[in-house]
Amino acid sequence: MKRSSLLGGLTLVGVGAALISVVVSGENLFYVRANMTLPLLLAGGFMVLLGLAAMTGVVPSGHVPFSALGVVVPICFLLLVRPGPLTVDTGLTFDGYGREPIRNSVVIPGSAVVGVDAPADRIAEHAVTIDPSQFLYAAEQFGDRFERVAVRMIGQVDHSDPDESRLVRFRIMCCAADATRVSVRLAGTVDADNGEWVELTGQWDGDVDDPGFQVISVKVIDQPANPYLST
Amino acid sequence: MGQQFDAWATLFNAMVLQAVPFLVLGVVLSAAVVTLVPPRAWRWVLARPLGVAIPAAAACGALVPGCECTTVPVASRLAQRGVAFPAALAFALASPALNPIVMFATFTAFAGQGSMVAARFAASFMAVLVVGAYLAASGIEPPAKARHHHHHEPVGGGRVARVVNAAQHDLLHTLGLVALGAGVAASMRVVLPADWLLALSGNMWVAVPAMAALAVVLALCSESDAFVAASFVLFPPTAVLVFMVVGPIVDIRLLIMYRSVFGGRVAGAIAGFGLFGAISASLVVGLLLL
Repeated sequence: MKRSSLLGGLTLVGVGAALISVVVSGENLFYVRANMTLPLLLAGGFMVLLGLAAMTGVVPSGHVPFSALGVVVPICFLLLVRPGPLTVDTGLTFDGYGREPIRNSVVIPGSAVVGVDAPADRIAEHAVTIDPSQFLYAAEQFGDRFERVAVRMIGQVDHSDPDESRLVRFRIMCCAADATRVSVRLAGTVDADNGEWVELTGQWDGDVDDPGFQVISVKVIDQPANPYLST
Repeated sequence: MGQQFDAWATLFNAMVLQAVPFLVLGVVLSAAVVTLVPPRAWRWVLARPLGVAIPAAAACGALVPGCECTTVPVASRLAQRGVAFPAALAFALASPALNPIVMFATFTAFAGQGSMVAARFAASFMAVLVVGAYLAASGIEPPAKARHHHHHEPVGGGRVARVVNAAQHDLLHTLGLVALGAGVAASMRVVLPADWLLALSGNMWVAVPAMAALAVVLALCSESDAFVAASFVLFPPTAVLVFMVVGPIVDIRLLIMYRSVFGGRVAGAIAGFGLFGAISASLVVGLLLL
């Protein structure tokens, strides 16, 4: 067997195995949308087969390009480093809040309409689960009617601004590189550390210009399997 | 530093993972098409006068959903099969810049603003034509060695073996370059201050080059760039258009691939003509449509 065939084949098998391994662990959702899961598996499987074909000599191979050395880096990062998803500490993303009217859709069931300043247990029982993007959309679209709705949201707490806390989610279109930060101002005390994932219940505070979430209850939770919102 | 490294690694992994499936699809398709379609078919389709071949190639490319990562292997393989290089490049550039998925993404991102979709299509098409026309007029072509670098070692076997071999080679080659480009783009994202753009949004003559530079640095997929572009509501619409037209033609990942496959002279020409074509076409179209 030629050394170049072995080298090229091993590299392809390495990349393919790395892709499959990331998908099997579910950590592909830290980087790309869920709808890329099958394409990643197929691509990984194809590369493993291609690599095995080169290594076993089933298909004669040509030379291995010098640039293939660069492939070693993603193999290492995918197999060994595998960092987590973007966090509130990252500070790299485009902040969708305040610049772009958040475009989304939301359905509010009648049972979630509990009235303004409803008791905490009634809010917890009837809250509709939405994301910060939908919250901003609903505040913009529904006006006063949304004040009567019990809401549950999950996200990361951002205490980086000493004057206010925010609930943050990142919305991705293709991958984490195009992530947009969507955040909602939190009214009331949120007893959680910076960057912790929380489940909050509460209601819109009625502020149209800078919609805030009047927090009634806070529960610290594990990071969800899919930490990003996607359109 | 730890957080910055984590952020860098996340962005790097994201860009690589997003690119790989498209890369696999691109190299397999290009290897299959170029290996299996007989040379006389290519001659019949694209060995026309360049004045016809370049727009025809761009129009054909617009129908083929592809990502930036496929541009270089496709152009390289087409040129290898005897298609005039400016026409081959026009085909390969048009695919990520103009394909229906990109246009639909733009339509969605801009909430059904047909004018932005029309402007993107028109400006991108003009930019591709500018690149092709300038390359044809200047006679700048990859050196023969670069165009035929895939043939250092003749490979035996039948057609399937040749397709598989071509795919192996192209995958290793382009994946290495994508990894390099993703590393550079992720580094730029980590290094640049988050809000530097805001300061530039007020002045059209500053905003346009700033958005062009951002498109080069961010190296986003053409299928996602419209969503990012739509978030720049403080910028003039024409500057936003520049962002979407420049990115699929000239970005850091592509420049590295152009340089590695076609040589520095061609890479410089594509970058120069691409930026000129994309910015000038966007200004003209933006003035008319936005």
